[in-house]
Amino acid sequence: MKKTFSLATVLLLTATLFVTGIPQASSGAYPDISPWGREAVEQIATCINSGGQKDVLNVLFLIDESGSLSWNDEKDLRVEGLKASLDMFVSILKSRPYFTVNRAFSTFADDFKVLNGKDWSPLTEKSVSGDKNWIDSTIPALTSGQTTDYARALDGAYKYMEPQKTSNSCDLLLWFTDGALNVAPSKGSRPTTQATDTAYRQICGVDPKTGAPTGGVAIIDRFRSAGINIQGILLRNEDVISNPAKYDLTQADVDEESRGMTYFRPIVEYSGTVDTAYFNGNSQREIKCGSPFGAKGVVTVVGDPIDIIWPPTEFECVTSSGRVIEPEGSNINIDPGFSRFRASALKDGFTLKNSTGQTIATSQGSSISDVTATYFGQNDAAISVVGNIKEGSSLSTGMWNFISRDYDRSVFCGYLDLAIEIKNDPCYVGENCAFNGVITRNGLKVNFADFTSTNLKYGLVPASNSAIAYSALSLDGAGKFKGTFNPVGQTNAQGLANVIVTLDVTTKSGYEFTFSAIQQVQPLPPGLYPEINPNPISVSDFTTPLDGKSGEAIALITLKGPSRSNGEICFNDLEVRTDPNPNRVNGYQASIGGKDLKDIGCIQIAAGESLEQTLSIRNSDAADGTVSGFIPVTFKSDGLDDIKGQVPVTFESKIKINDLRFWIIFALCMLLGLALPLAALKYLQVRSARISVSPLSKATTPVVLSASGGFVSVRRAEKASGSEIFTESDFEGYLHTESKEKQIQIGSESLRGNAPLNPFAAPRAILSTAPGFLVVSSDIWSTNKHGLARNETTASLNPAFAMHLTLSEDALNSLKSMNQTGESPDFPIEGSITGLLNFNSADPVTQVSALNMKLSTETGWLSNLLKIEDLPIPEVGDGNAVIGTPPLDDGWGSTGSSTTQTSTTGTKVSDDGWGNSTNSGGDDWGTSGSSGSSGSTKDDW
Amino acid sequence: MQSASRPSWIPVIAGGAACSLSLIIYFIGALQNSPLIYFAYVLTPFTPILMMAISQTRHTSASSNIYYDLAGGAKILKLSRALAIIGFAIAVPVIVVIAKNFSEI
Repeated sequence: MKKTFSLATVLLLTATLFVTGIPQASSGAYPDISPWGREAVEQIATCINSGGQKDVLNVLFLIDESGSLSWNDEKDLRVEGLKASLDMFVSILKSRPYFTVNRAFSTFADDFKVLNGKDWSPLTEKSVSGDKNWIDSTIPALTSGQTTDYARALDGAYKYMEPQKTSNSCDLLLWFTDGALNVAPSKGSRPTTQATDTAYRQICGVDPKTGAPTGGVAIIDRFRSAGINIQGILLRNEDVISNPAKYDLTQADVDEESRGMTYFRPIVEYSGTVDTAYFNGNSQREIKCGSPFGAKGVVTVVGDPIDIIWPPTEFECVTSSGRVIEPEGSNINIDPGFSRFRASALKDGFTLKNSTGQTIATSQGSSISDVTATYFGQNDAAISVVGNIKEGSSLSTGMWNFISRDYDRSVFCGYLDLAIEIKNDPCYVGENCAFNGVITRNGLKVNFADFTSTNLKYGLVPASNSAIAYSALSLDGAGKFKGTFNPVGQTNAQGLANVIVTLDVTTKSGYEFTFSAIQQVQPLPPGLYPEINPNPISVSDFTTPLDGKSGEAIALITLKGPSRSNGEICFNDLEVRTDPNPNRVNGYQASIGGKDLKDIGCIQIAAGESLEQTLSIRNSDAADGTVSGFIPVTFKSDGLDDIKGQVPVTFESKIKINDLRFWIIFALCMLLGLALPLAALKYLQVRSARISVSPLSKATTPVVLSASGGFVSVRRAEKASGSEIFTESDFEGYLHTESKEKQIQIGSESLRGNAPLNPFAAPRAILSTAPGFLVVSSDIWSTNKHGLARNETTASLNPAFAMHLTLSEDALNSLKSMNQTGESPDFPIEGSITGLLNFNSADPVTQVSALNMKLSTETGWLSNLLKIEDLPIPEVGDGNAVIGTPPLDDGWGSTGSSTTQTSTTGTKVSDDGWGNSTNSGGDDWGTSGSSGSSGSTKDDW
Repeated sequence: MQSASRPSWIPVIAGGAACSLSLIIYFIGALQNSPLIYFAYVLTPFTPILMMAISQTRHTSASSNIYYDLAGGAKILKLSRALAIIGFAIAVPVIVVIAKNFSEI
């Protein structure tokens, strides 16, 4: 199907959707819908979209409870249809918080009656679940009626709706029936053709056999002239038609019922083809029911509980500034300008993906966080996924993939959320009247560059219901428009002129949207009624904007008395229609002269008098943007009829921040949020910096070192059975119990826990030998670190499989010399190596072998010795102080290091720790313990 | 008796999830005015920090086990530290939103 639609196509599409759920299916299982039905949809949508005029929707559910429903509604079509409709109305409330939806439930068969406890009541998100439970428990049993008397039903429904109607209400009759008018001459008697004929004449004012007018006021015309739209839902069980015997019916019964059903469409849609055989006629003919003027109706035919959930879904789309987008294959173009979407489909086989192929939702629910999925329909067979279109997110524009196993039972709704707001200047009889308005999206400016075409027009809705003569309107960059009209000859019976403004926009993929809004204008006789100046009250009339939660928008207004008589101006509360934060529209408090508009009532003004007053507007919620709405007023003048009108109000709203409070709270939050975790980290570090000494065993062996080519090697100084450094017998068994210590002695060396300054770094251990000696560890972090003394190195807190080597400064010098010259010194270069093993897990022999293997293969840590800087030359007189101290005896036995200690030469320890090692780039940023190779820098960052 | 043990990825996953959730709450405008923004404040920086502390403690204690996968543990520790830093970064705009919410007049 082409993506470009004319207005008529859009209307056709919209109306067709009511019948089938998808546009293309209209020519399939269900008959075409009449132009009357299409216009009915537009009327309902326009009414709901006329926020400046309408803020109430009255919905009367009229439910057939005749006996034929026991077979025609075997699948609970009424239940599912009613529940889906309630959901739809709740959705309308969400997009229009200022709206009130009043609902009532009534039934008919032999007569009209309102169901007990289901009188007019506001529908809310909370109350809807109670209504649904009631529907589930009550509606299926409503099949007790003996007749199907539409005349009594419609008469009762009208009389029940009429008092509920107001000038600011949209009114809708939602009529569920299986469609065969069948009336008895009196209560309790059997239905007759004569009584049914009479009832149809009463409803339509025509002879049902010939279609000839019969005179008198048709019941249906009362709905049309009162502006009550009708949505008729014709329930058909195809299985009854195919298998009547299954339902204890004859084929003749079914045929008769089908003929009767043909008379339903003209009642709702003004005209339709009927089978006159139902009234003993012998032909099929088109008849017209009532007058074509006024509110229109639309018929939806459904035969399956799954089908009945789609019309409300589409209705919500159309009445909420959206339109149904049909997929091309499974692709949907999400164009710039779309503000949100709702994808509804059968749950099984449903998948929605964005333009990058990312899954947005599946039958299991939403896959990304800012999308909401809900299930609806019988047994939750369908899924509805909603989200806001936002560039740069997972819900950005582009070609989306909408996968459904049955596209006939799916609806993809794209919303633009454009609102037309119309305001009129005071309009006086005999003069041209001016109006202006703005097109906004949720109270904010619209980027019309998103649309390939924008066409704005206006006209006056003729009282005769003839076609509207439109004139073009131009939009400025801010989406504002203005125009004039002459109300002469264009007012209705109440003296009101209905200005309609229609916006057609086309998105980049060619999707056309049409929005309309109506503003009623009351032309006033000049000078005879009091006036409000300025009118409208615009942004520039406010001396202060609504600045923050505690601020108030203030405008000075003048109430001016009539020129010749006394008058009054009666105020009602401010009605806000456009707000940057739609959730706060019901939170406004407006006052004039310090008196709340809710309570102010009327202000008397004498002839020629001028009263200066202050209009003040407050709200406990703040938002940035422009707010607009109106104050409903009634102008009274002695001796004249009262005139109702509106004073449009537009003002700026701002969020106000107390800078001092902001910075105090920011600082406190930062302190709590940043300092507290950092302190906690530091605390954990300190607590974790403990040496695990459980089953640890130690062996210390004197070794002889040699160096060549930058590599250091060691061999055992004492003879052993083999060439290994360590033997199993060197280890001294388990000398420590399960514990964690701040510091332990390992021979002459001490190992102490250390928490680095950096709170993100891991706690570590520092291995220290006696001053004058050097120590290197096989632990992975045994790299030289700033801040460590010359006789220290870092090591593991869990020295389970590690070694360290100690040697004197002299030995180191000799080692370096040997490395440089290649000549061996006169005396062996001696040191001692200490191995630490955890013997609790494997074969001790194997573990000792592994340690020896590590020593022979991973010698990088030994070669670090050669990278240690030389000591500075000692100053004269400071020289020969022996720094070394005897090793402590801590019960670990002989250290074996005495050999090296005796050759110690006292030297001053360098202040810079380990100096210029290749591994000295460490900065405490998280080295982790390991018994692996020591030669490489292990900066975890 | 020691046995082979592998480091757990749960701290990294939990820290990452906390950062992601906090970001989502921050970037969805409607949620900035809801109590969820305070939940975001708990998520970042506290949760990644807690996860880092847990992974560090586990790593330190497990490193006495010669069968423990030290390299894997170090990698997890590294990631959890990165998430802790990211958590701090995410916390700043969240705190700005909270401060704005409280300082509106």
